[in-house]
Amino acid sequence: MEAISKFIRMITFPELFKGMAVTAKYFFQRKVTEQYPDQKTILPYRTKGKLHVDIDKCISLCRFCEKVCPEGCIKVFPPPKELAKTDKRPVEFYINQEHCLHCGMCVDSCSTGAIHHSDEYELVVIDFKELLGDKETLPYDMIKKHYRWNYLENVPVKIKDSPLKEEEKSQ
Amino acid sequence: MMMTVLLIIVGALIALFAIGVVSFKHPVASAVSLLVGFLLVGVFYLLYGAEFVAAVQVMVYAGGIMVLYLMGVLFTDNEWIHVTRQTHLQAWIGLVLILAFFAFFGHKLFHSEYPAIENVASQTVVQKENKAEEKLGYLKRETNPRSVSVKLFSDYLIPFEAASVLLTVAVVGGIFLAKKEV
Amino acid sequence: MDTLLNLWSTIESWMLAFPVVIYLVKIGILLGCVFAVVAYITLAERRLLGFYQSRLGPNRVGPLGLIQPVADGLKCFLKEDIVPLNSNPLLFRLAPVFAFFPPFAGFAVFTFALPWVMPNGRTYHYSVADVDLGVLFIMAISSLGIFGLILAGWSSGSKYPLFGSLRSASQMLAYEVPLTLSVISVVMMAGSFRLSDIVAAQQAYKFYFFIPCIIGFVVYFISSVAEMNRTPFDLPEGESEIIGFHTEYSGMRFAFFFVAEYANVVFISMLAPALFLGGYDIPFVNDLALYGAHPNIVSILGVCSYAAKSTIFALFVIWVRATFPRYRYDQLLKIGWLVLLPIALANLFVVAGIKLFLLK
Repeated sequence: MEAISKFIRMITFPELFKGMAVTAKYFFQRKVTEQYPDQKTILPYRTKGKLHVDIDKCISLCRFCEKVCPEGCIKVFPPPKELAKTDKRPVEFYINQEHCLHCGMCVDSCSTGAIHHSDEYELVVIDFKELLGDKETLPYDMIKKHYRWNYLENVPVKIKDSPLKEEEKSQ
Repeated sequence: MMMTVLLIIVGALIALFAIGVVSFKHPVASAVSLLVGFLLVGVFYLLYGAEFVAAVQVMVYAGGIMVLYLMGVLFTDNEWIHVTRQTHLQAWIGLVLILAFFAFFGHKLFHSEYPAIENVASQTVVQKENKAEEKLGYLKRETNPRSVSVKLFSDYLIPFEAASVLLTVAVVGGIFLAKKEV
Repeated sequence: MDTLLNLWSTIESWMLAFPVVIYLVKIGILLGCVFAVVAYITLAERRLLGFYQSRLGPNRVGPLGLIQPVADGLKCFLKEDIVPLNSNPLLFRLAPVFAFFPPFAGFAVFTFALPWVMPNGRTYHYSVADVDLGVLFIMAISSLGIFGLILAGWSSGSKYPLFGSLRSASQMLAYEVPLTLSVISVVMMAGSFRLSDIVAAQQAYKFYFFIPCIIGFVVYFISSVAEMNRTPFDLPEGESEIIGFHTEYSGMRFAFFFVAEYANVVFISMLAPALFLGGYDIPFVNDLALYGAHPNIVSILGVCSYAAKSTIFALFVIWVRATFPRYRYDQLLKIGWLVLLPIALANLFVVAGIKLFLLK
């Protein structure tokens, strides 16, 4: 009896059809491909993307971020002494995003939370000078943190279930 | 007229490639010219209307045997070809023998009468036909492979079977030689 | 309509004055169709393989990626054509031609449908040359495809392509025998080598030949997959892992091998329906002409049915490729010589017995 079943298995090779059934199942499944320029991934909240600085929060005299940066790509220019007593905001703030490692050490060391990561990951530019952030460009565009830009319809779309929402409420 | 010209051209090409087989220095080059020669012999058969033989020629000689030749050549060491002489002192004797051979065959060719090719279509085969086959008109038509097979299985059955015995002997001998323990 | 017919009759009289023109036109149409199908089967395979692997495949060039084959062809045209210093230049240039012509030449003997009848009563056959020796011609031509591989490997002047070509030569030798034997069983059932006769026999018997020759069909499928050098028997090429015979080829010469491979796929999946699946016979409708249909309608439906059958076969081949891993080399040769060859021989006897005793 066993011999007969073995023979039948030998001439009908069911294992092969089992394998083909598996691939057929995958054929009809949802595809996981992400069509990049049209569709963008929703990155997690803690993504270590491009650095941004909230210039209004920065106290600039500490220069912790500048000292701790392993690449030396941050340069802070604090205001002159007499002005610093009233307004500690930096006169100029440079981050060379081209050299940035996204290590996050500046973010950890910042005592006021002025410097922080964003979820921008498209750092491809034609001219590398575009990656040099100064006081004008570094301030964080809040719309980019809380909203995602829908490139198809050219409108901002609110990110759903972002942990930031809770923070907003609590503030 | 057209036919004669074609035959002469194809025959000349066959002779050319046959000379190439023996005169090329590199074994792969001569194997390739042998291959082209085999294909041209197939064309020769086609021109004479022996389609079946042409197809078998291409299939067996060009497609089967030449592949084995080429594989054999690829496996061999080709270093010695630069030092080996291609001609020998005996070449003159060989030339004389070849000329004698061709003279003999040429004489035979031009001074003998061949029996006219029989009309094979006259030999109708008594074939058991089933119901479906009665509808098929082509079974009654005389085609090249059918007439060849009729000839092969009626008039030339004994040589055919003898050839098959020879092949079986060759296969058994090959297995015997390839076996590790006798 | 009348002017069209008049125009056609003048064209026809011209063509009848030079019968070569008819053949040239037929060959042109056939080759054009084959090239188009070959171009799009590459795209179909890439997209379907993507689907089997839960991705989308190439879909960016044109709608649904339909212009992708053009882009591939352009890319191959524009690439640099490298002839290695160590190679044998003549054979290196000749080898792609040897690999290229057999599948395309084989299409000459196919018949795609019943003849088309013009309004003036003249019939046109859907074939270039429906010769008596069709199947034998196909076998002879396809046995020449090995030379392309062997010469490509040898003339590259590098040892890895040489090993690749040795592998492929022994594989193709091993699988050509069972392939031929399984085809011979069909020829035995039909009693003719001509492809249109084989289809006519299947129409007369009212069943397709894959029923009596089911073993032969399985053997044919497996060994044709091996002849096409596709997974699970893609050792000669091994697109991603093994170094194959065309390692040293680049640009257009590589494209020749590539096109030849896919032309082989098209060729095999058009031969299989003619031999085993009834060709241009419309399934379950044995003789449409009996129902009073116009012969032209019958022939168009025949073309459609043939195309559908061969498409299904080609899709199955792609499905097989998407599923199975590659065989080891010794396993491959063992399957060829020790399994498929005896089965194919046994199949011959089985089919002969069926024809002698069961079909009375």
